[in-house]
Amino acid sequence: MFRIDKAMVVATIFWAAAALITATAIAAEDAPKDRQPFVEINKNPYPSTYEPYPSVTTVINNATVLTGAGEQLEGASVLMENGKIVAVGSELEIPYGTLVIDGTGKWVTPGIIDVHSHLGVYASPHHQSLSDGNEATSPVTADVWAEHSIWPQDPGFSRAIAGGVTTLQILPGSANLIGGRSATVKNVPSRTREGMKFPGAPYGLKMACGENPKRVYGKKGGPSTRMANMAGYRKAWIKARDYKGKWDSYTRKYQAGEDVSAPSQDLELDTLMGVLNGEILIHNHCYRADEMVSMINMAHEFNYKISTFHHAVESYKIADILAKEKVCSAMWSDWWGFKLEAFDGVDENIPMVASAKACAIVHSDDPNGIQRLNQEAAKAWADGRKVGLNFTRGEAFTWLALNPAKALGIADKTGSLEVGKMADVVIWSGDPFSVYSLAEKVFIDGALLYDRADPDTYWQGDFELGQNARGAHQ
Amino acid sequence: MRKSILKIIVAAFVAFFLTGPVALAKILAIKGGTVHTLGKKGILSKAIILIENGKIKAVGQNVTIPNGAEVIDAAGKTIVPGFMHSSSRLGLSEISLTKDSNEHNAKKTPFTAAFDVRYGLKSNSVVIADNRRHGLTHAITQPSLADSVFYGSGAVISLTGGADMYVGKGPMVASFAKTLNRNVAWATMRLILDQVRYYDQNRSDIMEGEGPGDFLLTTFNMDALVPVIKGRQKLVLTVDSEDNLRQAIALKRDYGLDLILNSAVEAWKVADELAAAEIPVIINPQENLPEKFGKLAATFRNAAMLDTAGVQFAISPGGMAANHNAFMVNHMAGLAVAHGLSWERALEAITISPARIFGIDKFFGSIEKGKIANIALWDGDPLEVTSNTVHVIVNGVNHPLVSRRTLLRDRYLNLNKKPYAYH
Repeated sequence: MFRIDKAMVVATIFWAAAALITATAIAAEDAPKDRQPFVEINKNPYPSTYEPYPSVTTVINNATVLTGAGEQLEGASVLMENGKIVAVGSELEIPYGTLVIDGTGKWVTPGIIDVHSHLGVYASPHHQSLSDGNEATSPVTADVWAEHSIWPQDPGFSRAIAGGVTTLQILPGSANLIGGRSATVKNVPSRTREGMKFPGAPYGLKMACGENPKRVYGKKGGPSTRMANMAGYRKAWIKARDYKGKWDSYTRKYQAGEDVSAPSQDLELDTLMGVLNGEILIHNHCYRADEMVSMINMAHEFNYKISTFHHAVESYKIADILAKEKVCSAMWSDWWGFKLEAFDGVDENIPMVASAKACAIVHSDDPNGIQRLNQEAAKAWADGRKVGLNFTRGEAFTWLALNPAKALGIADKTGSLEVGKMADVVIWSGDPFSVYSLAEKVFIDGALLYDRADPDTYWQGDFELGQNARGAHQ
Repeated sequence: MRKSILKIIVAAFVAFFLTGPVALAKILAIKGGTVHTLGKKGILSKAIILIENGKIKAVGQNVTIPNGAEVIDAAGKTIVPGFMHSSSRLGLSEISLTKDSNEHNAKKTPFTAAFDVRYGLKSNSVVIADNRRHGLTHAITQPSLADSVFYGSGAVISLTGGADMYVGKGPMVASFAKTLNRNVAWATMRLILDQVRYYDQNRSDIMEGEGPGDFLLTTFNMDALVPVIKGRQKLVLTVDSEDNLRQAIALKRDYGLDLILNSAVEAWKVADELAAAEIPVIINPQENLPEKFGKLAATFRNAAMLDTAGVQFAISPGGMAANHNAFMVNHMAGLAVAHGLSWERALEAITISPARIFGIDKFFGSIEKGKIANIALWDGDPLEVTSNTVHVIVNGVNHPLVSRRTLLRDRYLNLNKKPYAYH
C-alpha cells in the first residue's frame, strides 16, 4: 500500500552527494590552470543545527502499540536507545539500567507529523507584526523561504506537542501561484530557526491553485482567472528550464575543461531549478479535482514531481488518478463550504483516497486543529467505516505519521516505530481514536520533551513568560 | 423576552399546523435504547418516546405504542436531545466567500441594532441539511457585523429545512471591533444605553424635535434597543479578557440587562464573580492560544473551572464551526470532558443549558413531554468523535440522513457502476 518515491530518495541523498560529485569531477579534468574558479550554488546556506535533547535508554512496556506502519500490537514494548527505536514487540531484551515505563492501558504511536502548518509564520498573538506567511506582493515568489519568517517563540509549538506532534512542515501561505520554500522542523523549543530544522529533510515548494491567487491578484495585475493561474506557473517553469539549462551547460563545459563564466544566480530560479532537479518537493494547495489533474499534467510537461496536494477536498473524485500518479493528498476530516472551491468537501474524503490506495494524510493548517490531529483522523476513520471502508486503527494511523513522512521525504528517518528510525514516540492515555485520550508523554529523538504528569517539562516561550503560568493552557 | 418568544413560537406553530404537511396526526414512536432525557426523568433504559404533531407526547418505560404508529427500533442506541448551537450563522450563509449567499453582515448599511436576521433566512439550505444529519437540530443564528457595537437581533431557528425554521426572535448581539480602544468601546456601549433610556422616556418630545439631536444611533436603531434596556430581550456580548468580563459584570449591574457573555476566553479568571452576578457564558473549549492580548489566559480547562464555580455555560464553537461545521458542538463538548468537565455537564452544555440560557427551555433542550421533538439517535457515545447519528428528528419529522455532501460521496463511491454524472 505504500510507495517508495524515487524523487524523494534522490532528494534525500542529494545533500550529501552534491558537493562530492562536483569536487571529484573537477579534479578529474585536465583543466587550464588559470581559468576562473568553479562557481557552485550553495544549496544549504542555512543548515540545521538541531541536536537531539539528552535522552536515557527507555522502554515502554505492555502497551497497545500502533507501529505506524499499519500494525496494532497488544501488550507490546517499545525500546528507545540513543535517540533511536531499537526494538518493538514482546519479550524484548532490555539493557541493564533502562528506564521502564509501565504502558499498561496506554497506547503508543509514532509522533504525529503535520505536513501543513503555519506555526511560527502566522504566530500567536495574531498581529500584523507576526503575520509573515504570505509575501502577497507578486504572484510568483519562489525566492522566499518560510524558515526566514519562522518565530521559534510562537506559543503554538508548545500546544502542538501536547497534541503529540513531533514534526511539522511550515509553509508559506497560499496567496501566490508559487509562494516560496517550506521548512520541515522538529517540534522542539529552540532559540533559533536552524535549531528546529529537521536534519536532512529536503525543502518543499508551496504552490497554490484556484481562488486565492485569483482573489489576491485579480485587481493587482492578475492572475484573475484560473487560466491565467496556469499560464503563470508555466511561464515560471519555462524560465526555470532555461536557467537549469544554463547551469547544466556551464557545469558540463567547465567539467570538460573549458574556461566558462557561471550564469548569474537568481534566488527565484534556484528554487524552481531545485524542483526540476528532484531536490525540492512540491506541496500544492489545490481543492478542485480538475485543477489537480491540470497540475499533474503540468508536472509532466516540465518533468517534475508533485509530492502532495494540500486541502485536496475533491481528491475523492480522482483518487484512482492520484494513486496512479503517486501524489499524496493532505486533507481535513470534515471542513467544507467556506469558499466555493471547498463546497464539495465530504466527510469520507480521507478514507476514500486511502481506499483507492493513494497516499492519504490528515493535516491541520490550523493552530487549534494541529493539537488534535488524532481526533480528526478518528472522525474520518469512523465515517469511512460507516460506508464500508473498513480500515483498522493501525492502517488509519499511517495518515498521521508515515504518509506525512513520505510526503516530506523523511520516511527513512521517522514516521513509524521501526528499528533504526528516530525515537519520535507518543504515549497516549488511551485509544488515540477517542476524543477523551490525551498525549501523556512525547519523545523526540528519544528525549522526553513533554510529560503531562511533570510540570517541569511544560515549555513556555519568551512571549508568555510572566504573563501566564507554565502549562496553564492545557 | 421569554413571553414574546413564547407568543411567536405559538403563532409559528399555529401557522405551521394550518399549512404544514398533512401526515401530522401520525405518531412516531422510538422504542428501546438508552434515553438521556436531560429532564427530571434522568436516564431511561428501554424507554418509549411518542411523538405527535411535532411534539413529544410521552416519554417513559410504561408508555404504550398506539396502533398505526411508525416505530423506530432504537435498541442499542443512545438517544439524546438534538444539539443546539448558540452562536451560529446557520441559514445566513451557504458559502462564506461568496457575495450572494451571505445575509449576516449589516456593515455599510443604516442598520445596526435594528438589523434583524429573520428576513434573510434560507430554509432550503444545504448547510442546514448537512448539520442536521450530524445531530444538530436547532440554533441561535445571528448577525456577524455592523457599523456599531450593536449588530442587531439574532433568531431562534429549528433545522427543519422548511419555511417553519424560524422559531422566534433571538437575542440582541453586540461586540467590539478588534481594533476598538477599550475605553471607547465601553463608553460607546454605556452612552448608547443611556441615550436609549432617555429616548424611551422622552420619545414624544424627541419626535417633536425637542430633544438633543446628537444621539449616537438613529431613532430606528434605538427603538430596537428598548427591549434590551428593559431586560425583555437578552443581550449577547462578545468579550474575552478578564478586565472586559469585569466591565461586562458592571454593565449588567448598572443597566439591569439580561446579559449573556460570548467567547469569554478568560472567564475562568473571574468565574466566582460571574457566578455571583448570575451571568451565563457561551464558550468554545478549543480556545487555548494567546491569539490576542485579551486571550492570553486561554485554556482548555475554561469549561471545567466555570462549572466548578457554578457558572451557567453553553458550549458553542466559532469560526468554521459556526456554520458549515456547526455540528462540531459535540466534538467540542468531548474536548471539554478530556480537560476536566464531567460528561453529563458537557452534554447539558449543548442541550438543556443553552436552552435555559436563551430562555427557550420550555420548547427545547430535553426529551420531555410537551417539548418540540428535536431528538437524535446515536450509534455510540454522542460526544465521541467516532460516533455517528442513525436518526435525527426535527420538529417531529424523522429526516433522512442525506445531504448534498452524502450524495456527492455516494456518487463517487459508485464510480465503477455508472459514469459520475448519471448517479
